[in-house]
Amino acid sequence: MLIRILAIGIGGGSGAVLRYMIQEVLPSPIFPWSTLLINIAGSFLLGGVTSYLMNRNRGEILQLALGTGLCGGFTTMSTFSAEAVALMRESILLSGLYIECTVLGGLTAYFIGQHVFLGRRSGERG
Amino acid sequence: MNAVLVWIGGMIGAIARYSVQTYLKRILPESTIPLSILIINLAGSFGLGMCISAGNELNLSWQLFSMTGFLGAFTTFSTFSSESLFLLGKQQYMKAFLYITGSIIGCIFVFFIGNIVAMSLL
Repeated sequence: MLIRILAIGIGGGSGAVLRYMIQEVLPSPIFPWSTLLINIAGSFLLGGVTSYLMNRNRGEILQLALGTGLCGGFTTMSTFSAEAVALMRESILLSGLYIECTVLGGLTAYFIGQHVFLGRRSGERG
Repeated sequence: MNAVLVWIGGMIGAIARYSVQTYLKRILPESTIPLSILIINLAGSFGLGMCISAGNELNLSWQLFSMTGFLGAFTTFSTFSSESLFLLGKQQYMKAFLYITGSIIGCIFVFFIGNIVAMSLL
């Protein structure tokens, strides 16, 4: 159990720091490009990691470190909500576009990630 | 130093997410709609709504630790993508629609409620 907690902790901490750095480097004046990019990239990565590990029967620990930890800590729903609300105050249209791009982009990226890494379509939940 | 604060917050957030998810899966009725991640994302978005309203009361270190680190890692988008596609893949279109709209509209709504609650408290 301790090794699982460690795997998730180290992965999650790294994911959060990576997200923080990208947001520092890519300031988003009005449209939240950085979070959009982070959520799409993280979804792609989770799709890849999940199907890659599934097909090779690699350890559960790696799935926890890279999937639950790294991708889970890197992508975020709370900041997405905050930005969608902030953008609504500027422009309902832009906010709608941001929400749309996040959802469609995230799902599409996950799907592509699954297939790039030669994954079967699987019901694995990261 | 800032990165260290985010790192520690993110670590605790990810472990908390895994623990809460494991616990919720045990106590919630068996459902094809992934309620555990939905509840986690709703709770974290509500929390961020409160923290952002209280922003002036919190110093930068605390903001990085709790908002960027902890709540950022506690809530997740990648698993949401995975769960949504899982439902779509199983051709559970109604459930997928409910899960996606529930997550997205739900999180935005509770974030807003969190804002209001914090403002009324401060």
